Amino acid sequence: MAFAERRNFAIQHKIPFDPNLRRAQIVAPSVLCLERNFEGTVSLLQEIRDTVFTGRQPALLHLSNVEEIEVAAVLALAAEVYCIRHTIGKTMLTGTYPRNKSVLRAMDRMGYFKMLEVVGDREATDEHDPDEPHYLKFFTHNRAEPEIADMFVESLEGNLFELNALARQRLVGALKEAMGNTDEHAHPEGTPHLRMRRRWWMSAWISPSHEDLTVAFYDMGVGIPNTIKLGEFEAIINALMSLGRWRFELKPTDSTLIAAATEYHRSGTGSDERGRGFTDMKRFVDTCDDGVLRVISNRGTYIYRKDGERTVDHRGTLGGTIVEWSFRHGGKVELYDAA
Amino acid sequence: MMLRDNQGVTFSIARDFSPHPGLRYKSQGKNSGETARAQLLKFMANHPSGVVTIDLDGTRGMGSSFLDEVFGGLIRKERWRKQDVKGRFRFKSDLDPSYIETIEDSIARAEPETAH
Repeated sequence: MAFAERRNFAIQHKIPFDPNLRRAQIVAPSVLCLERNFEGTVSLLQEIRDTVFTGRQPALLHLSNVEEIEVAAVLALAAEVYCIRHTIGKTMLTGTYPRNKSVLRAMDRMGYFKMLEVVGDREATDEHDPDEPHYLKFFTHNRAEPEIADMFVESLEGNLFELNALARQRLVGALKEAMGNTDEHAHPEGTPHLRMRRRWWMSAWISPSHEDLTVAFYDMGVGIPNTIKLGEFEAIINALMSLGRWRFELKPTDSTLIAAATEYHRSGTGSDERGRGFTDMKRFVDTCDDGVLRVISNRGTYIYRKDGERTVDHRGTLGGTIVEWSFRHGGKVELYDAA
Repeated sequence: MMLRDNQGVTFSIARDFSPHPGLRYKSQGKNSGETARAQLLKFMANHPSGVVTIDLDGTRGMGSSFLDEVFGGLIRKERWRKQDVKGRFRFKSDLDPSYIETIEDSIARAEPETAH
């Protein structure tokens, strides 16, 4: 990029202009959120992948304009940066801090900088804001050790979120299934250009009132839509239509493929060993007073509540899978079996 | 360890296998469903007759894949007949009855695997 072009780029994107900078410049959108700005968020991830991972070009990631964040989106960004820094080199992707103090503090509390081993001169963030959520620091691993899920839930309880024995047991079970799905299905043998095989990233946060808990789980696999063959999709929806359980379009978009994957087991088609994990995740939502399961994979989003489901398709691709549970309660989470 | 009560012999997943059951396959880490099934088979070899109670309470949480691999796997991989699985085991889960539903569903759907 020529000098004038680089200067205009800086002015246009409201980022500092450094005439000596030779890196590619990647600018994060002001709204880093898969729910409110899916296309802008995933195009940032794609640009990082294309420029640094595929193009092997060093880059500077500008977070300075970010004004609004969502934990799942920051988790996916952290995973992308982690992948580059651990496979190509730490110096290949550097970044700036958000100018917005509350965004900076939230990202710090989420563990974004710690995960990326960024030690710098960012301002102290130890002041406590009572309106701020309690974050569990981002966590990543490439194994599915059974104690990890238990320790994770123990950490949530340590942050003043009470679960009764049944809720706790089901949450641990659902987390193990999410880890198992990554391990078993996210990186099929023979797939070219696999990144961060078997690795997953996890996060959780609790609302300031201690009434809402959200857990997010991310992997960089091929995406759920790519693990379902077209013949399987047809077999699943035919089986589910005969049971009156299929509510979506018949064409295989990414979102309907995710919806089908969550019903794979219950449809009674194909291998009996697949799709049981989603049954556990839905079961957990079914027994919460107000729970949501959100699955975002490649170009599709699938949202499940006990009183309904919906799907959304997008232009851009996430390039991985996020599974997120949110649930609300007014005191201890009391789950009772519906049976 | 073996416990005998007035209803026969009990195999507790938490006590006789692990309070932290893992995933489906050995390759996925420790305490897998495959490993639990092998342990259960050893236990059953020592108790060749009578009903064994499988106690599902007391773990820190189990996924359906683990349970499916243990009990559905008896039919798929070990070629047990469904009626033998149903006849030899009684399942107990006071805290979460959905574990029993999962196992019953696994047994109902499982078919012996054929060699390729």
